[in-house]
Amino acid sequence: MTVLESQTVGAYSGSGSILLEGVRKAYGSTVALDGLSIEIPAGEKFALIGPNGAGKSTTLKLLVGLLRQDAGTISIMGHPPTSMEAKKMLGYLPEDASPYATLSVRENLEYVGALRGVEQLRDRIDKMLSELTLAEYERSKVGKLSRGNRQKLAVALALIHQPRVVLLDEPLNYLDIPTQERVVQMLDRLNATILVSTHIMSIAERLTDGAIVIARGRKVWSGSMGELQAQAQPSESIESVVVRLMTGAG
Amino acid sequence: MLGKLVKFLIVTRFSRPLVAFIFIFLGYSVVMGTLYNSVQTRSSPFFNYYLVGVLVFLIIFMVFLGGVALMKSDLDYLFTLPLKRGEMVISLYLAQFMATGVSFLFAVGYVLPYVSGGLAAKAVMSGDIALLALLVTSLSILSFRLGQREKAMLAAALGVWAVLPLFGISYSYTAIFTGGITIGTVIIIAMNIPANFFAVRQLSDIEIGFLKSASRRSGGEFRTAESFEGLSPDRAIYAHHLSELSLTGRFGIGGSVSVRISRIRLYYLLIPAPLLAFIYLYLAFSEGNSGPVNITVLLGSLYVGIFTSILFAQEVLSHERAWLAFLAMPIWRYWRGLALSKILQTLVIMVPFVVSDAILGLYGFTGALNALIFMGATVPLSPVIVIYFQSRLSVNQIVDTEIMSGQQNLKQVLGLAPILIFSIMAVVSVLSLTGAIAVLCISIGSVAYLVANPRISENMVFSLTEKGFV
Repeated sequence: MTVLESQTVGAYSGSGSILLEGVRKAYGSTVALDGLSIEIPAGEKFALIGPNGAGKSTTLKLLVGLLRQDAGTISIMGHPPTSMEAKKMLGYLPEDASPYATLSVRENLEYVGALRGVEQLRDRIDKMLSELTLAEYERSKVGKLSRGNRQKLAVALALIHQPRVVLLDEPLNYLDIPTQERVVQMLDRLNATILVSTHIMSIAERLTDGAIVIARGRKVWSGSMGELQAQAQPSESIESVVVRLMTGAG
Repeated sequence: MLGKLVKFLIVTRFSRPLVAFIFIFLGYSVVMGTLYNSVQTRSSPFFNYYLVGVLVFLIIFMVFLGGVALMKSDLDYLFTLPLKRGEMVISLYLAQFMATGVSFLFAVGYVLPYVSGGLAAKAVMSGDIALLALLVTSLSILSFRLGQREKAMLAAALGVWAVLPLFGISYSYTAIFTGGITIGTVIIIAMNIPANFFAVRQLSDIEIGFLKSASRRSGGEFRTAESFEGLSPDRAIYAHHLSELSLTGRFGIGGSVSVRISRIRLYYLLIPAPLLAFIYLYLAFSEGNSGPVNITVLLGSLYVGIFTSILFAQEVLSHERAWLAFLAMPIWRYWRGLALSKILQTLVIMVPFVVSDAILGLYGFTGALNALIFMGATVPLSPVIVIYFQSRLSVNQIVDTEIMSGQQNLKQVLGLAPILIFSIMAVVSVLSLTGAIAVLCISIGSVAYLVANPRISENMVFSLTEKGFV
């Protein structure tokens, strides 16, 4: 497939749950995103794939309103990312997420739940602690948790308000295999629009149905996982296909 | 090999601009101290109080931080190399001296030009300052392995000992600043010998100490539990930021490699605050109401103001989590809640000092009313301004509580800029009623602008995110 620019993802149509149009973002003289356009319909799950420095994390930070684009338009279900409407719908997990170190596990969940106005908070917290096998650590300081348990807590914090749009940056990092499976199931049950930033194809395949490949701040390919696999030549792995797309080698 | 190792340890811990800055500053002190013949300033009350205060602060600071200028990469790579133990110890000591010396030189290095009594007196004072820098360095190394309680006891003992000359007892290491140069020098030398002996011994098995210390940072649970259940979003912010003060052991200076997080309930601070306010009142009365301004009122306002504003502001952003806080509600709303919490928190702590100022005012002390305005209104507003400055200049987000990099750069020095501005504000306020009112008006205007303008808080968060703060 040839390089596609500014097209709607795959064969999907309809108004985008996540929409970026001609977005440009530079850090000083370094251009992170150079006219990136993405549209993900409501309820769809896509992976944002790209090499280091491609602009994946910047894209997610722009979508959650922690950064401001230099040019272009961004919307979440039709609302600007910094609006209250968008914030209510969004759940975000950054890479190597660190919860509040000054709070315990339960306090973290209570605090973020209260900030988000989650109803029946105690039940929700108990459920998440149980589901992510964190109940025995609920009074522990975050700093005393293993990296895996810290990641579990970060996942719980991102999903505590049952968001309709979920943006995840390497969500399965540090998690053991049973927990990975539980997180995949949790995300499935949410029925949310999901964008997962990763550079590990197996994770992309487990969590999503489609892929957006970016390189040097631009979209170079997008489509369903099936379409991506169809790009492969005999005995060529999906990773090799992605490398080919990223480097523009065919 | 020693030279290479020293160079390696220094360039991997300190940025080149910072090293240049340190040497320029040191050179300035020495050259000016040699050339400049001052009037009799060393024995003035200002220098007595100031230098003793600074030394007490630094000693307590270093003992509590207990940092060694090590990085995790030292443990992973450097210590695995076949290097001579003696060279390693010397290099680590020198790197530590650079780390602790930065803060020490800032505070007392410039005193040299103002030492009166000719070259001999200057030479003695130079030697004393160098020995004090060594003492501070060795104490920071020694306290690395101590528990919190042991550190508190050591810091308290050294702090009390340091202020004795202000009460007429000159048997203290701070006596060099209050006229007792001989006794002070003898005590400093006597303290340095065991402190440096044990510090060097500790550095010789630093890997073991490092690992022990890292594994014994603090307990696994907080002593007290907070609850946010059933609170509205705004009340949750106040409950979190108003009721407790989070303290952290990484201030960006001191070469600390560890982060120790502890929480203290605000009401615990209600015990030392009246005590300090009483000492302030006692010293002001002891000095009497003579001269254009009471030195205690001036320096008390300065120290209390700076210490409080920094204490209540220093860790706020470092422990904040943009991906949680600023996504849950509009950025300006969270920032407003946080700012108001800090103002109220500081105000509560300042109440005893306001009462002391009111008493001094009733007794007709010059500058007491000005100090009351400063401590009661300007100081409580200051954490908001300091937090904003930090967000634009230098802020380290603390994300890992086990082992942190010990790297230091010149930008971190910029974080001290609010102290300088705040010092000027304190002096202007105490010296003149008009100044106090003007400074207060500027503070109110600044805080109102910072809190009420959504653009300001949004830009603050965008800027922090661009710096990697998530």
